[in-house]
Amino acid sequence: MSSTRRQFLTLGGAALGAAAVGGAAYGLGRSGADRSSAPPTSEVPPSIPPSTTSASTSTAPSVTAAATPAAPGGRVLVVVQLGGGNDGLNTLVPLQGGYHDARPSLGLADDGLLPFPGTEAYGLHPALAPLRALLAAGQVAALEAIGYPHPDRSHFAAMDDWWSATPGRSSTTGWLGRWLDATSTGDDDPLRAVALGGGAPALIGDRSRPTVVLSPVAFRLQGPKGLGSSLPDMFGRGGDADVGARYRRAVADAAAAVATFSKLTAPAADGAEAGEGADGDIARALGTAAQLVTEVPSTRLIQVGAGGFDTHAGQAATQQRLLADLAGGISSFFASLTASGAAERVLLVTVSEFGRRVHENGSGGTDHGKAGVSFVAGPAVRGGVYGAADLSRLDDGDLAPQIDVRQLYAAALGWLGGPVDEVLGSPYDALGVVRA
Amino acid sequence: MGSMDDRMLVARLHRRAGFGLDAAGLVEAAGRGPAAEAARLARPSEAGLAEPTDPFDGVDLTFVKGEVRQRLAMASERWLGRMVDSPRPGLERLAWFWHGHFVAAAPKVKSPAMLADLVRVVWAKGAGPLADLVRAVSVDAAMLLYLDGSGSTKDEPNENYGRELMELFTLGRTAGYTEADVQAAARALTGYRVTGERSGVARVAFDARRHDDSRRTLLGLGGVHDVDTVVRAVTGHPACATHIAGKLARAVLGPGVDAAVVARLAEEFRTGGLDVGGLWAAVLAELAAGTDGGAVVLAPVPWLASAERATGVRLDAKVSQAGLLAAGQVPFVAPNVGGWPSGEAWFSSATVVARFNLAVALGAATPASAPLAVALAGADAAGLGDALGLGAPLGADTLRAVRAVPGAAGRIAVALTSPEFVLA
Repeated sequence: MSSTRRQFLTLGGAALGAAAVGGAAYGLGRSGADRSSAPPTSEVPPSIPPSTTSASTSTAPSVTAAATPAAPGGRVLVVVQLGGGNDGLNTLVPLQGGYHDARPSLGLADDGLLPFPGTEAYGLHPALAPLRALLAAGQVAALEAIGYPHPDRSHFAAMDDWWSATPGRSSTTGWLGRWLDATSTGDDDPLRAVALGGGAPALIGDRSRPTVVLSPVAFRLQGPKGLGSSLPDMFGRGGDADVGARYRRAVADAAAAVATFSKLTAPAADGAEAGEGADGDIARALGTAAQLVTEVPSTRLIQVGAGGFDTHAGQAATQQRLLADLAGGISSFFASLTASGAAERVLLVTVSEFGRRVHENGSGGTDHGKAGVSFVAGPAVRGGVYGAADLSRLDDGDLAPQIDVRQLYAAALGWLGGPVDEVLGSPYDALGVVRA
Repeated sequence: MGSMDDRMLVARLHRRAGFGLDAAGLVEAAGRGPAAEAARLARPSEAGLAEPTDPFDGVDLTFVKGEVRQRLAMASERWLGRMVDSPRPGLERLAWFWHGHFVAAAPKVKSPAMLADLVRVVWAKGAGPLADLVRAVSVDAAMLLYLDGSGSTKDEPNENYGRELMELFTLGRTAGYTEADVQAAARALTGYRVTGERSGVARVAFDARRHDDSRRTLLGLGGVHDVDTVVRAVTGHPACATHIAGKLARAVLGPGVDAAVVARLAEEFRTGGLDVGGLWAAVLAELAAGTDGGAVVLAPVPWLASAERATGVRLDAKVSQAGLLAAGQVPFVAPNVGGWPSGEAWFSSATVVARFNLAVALGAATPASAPLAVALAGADAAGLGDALGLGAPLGADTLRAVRAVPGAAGRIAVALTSPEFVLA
């Protein structure tokens, strides 16, 4: 194993990892019990379609709309990473085929599921209720049984495959990092790619690095007047030559990113501004993401790192809390962007390194499995369920992948623009999930 | 006093395998020479160095809802203090290595006391036979909770620990174990249950009726049925010595350490019965002899401990813990079972910014009479390098950056975030 490969794997650890650390930054003070007993997130109906946008969207987070005129920017891809391996079967629930036999205690009652418009075959976990308006507008697609042809039940191997998009093969770059490299002008703003809540190996390119922000509140320079502002040039601009040069460049880039970040209109961690239903780690990070989209024209890629989905035990309460955070966050995110007229420029996808075993275990949880589910959301989406969960033909007790991860990536990159096939290594059928 | 090379080598030993040295400590260590200093770091009791006290003694770490964060921060601060002050920094750095290797973490583990007890395990057994350490970790309360061994039964075995035991803790992903091995290990480790998580007293109970005692083959070893036989199987596998020696060598000798060096260390480790103390001594002897696989990026915790040693300042607990959180590394709260990242992952913007802010706080808290502050007021390259415990002059760029800042406080902040100090 080469040292760069090791380094990439190590950075890989950082992603899920720092997501959890970032989670701690927001929420360690409250125990899991506190959070799961919190009132359910209120539904904030986003104004969809965008043509109905008006100042009357008073329930939407208001930070962006009035404070700053929407800066015209390019299209922005937001990737929400559900670290730990989200249980797809209890997220998008198949209404036929022995689901309840496999899930005697964890199975969700059919009549409590959130309907997915256009299909009778699946329902959604009730915690996803905040997505109702986006679903009704046809702006949510679910990619069922997504994975790689030869899935790996190891978190680290599986995440490495998702990040690199080169399953089973070493890569020093992530799929989004290669897109950044391919579309780079050579003098990019450090905020072109931002990882909120943790490091993001998917965003590492040969020449490109994301700006990593664990907590927006802590992302500012302190110290005597003038000291912080001299940081960009303190040790020189750095470069790629050796580890010392890379450190110097990292310092310069971080200082530049802080300068831009400090100009965002409101601190995203201010719960009062974020609106109801936006009090979880994912929702908070998506609040910051909305600010970046509307106020930083150079931002093209945002990754939100979330953790806690590795539900080997006590899954019901944990997944309920996490999915509520996810759905509330996505709902508020698009409501905010719609209010500021930026929603059309944004596509959001969710990823997770694997789904979980079809049969629940004895600890009220599920162990590592294979295929899972991804969501794609935004005005450009053709809503509906793509792929299928075939519970009659399991692969060693797991859902077998039917949609290749790279098909999701092809859809996302195709919409974003740029050399898709070059980034992914060959052409993939994007399934028509996203309109051009 | 030691030659220039000797000063650089003892400084590197302490920066990579301890928590650095202040100016006076550097002079003493250089006088003893690199080889002697390596031995002293690895086997301090033979040098008559006192054993540090248990920093968690007298701290109330029982679980109380709403108090967990504060109690963990207190424990973290106490441990950081031990890193700064310990007469045995080499063993403390080794314990820190294990803390990021055998990971059990909040918030999944609710009890601060249980998390502290796992640190006590690596203090007590981290430099002895690996098998003893792995056995103790495997039935540790925090670990049983973190990787779901607690409540894993004959009827419903949970394979989480069995997988990570092999993938991360002992063998490595490419060692060739199978899904059947994962399940065999999981079955042999059934029957444990942790009680008292929310009270002061943790108890690990073993219930034979919930334990699958059938004999299975694990990694080619027959008759595996309980924790002892699982430990025998994994530590008896040839990949174990390579996995552990390689990880420790890369952490200390540098990420690009020569494969032949790793192979030699692994072979010695294997033939020496997997004695971790012996491995640690061998790794440090390599470092003392000048073996170098490139710079080691100081992670936030060892960096802060080193910066506190260099300045002689202990930061206010709130400032240091908030800073470590922002930097992405808080003891007891590893991000996942793989532990913290290493190397250039710590160049992330969040860490750069948090490190700078911590350095500013250290600079502001350093008295003008402190040796480092005095040296920085003068700002000559060699004197500064020694005052920072580097054993080598500061580079021209850093010297220029230091001189550009008026006042010792700002100069300390610049020096502690310089490439020379962050890259050991």
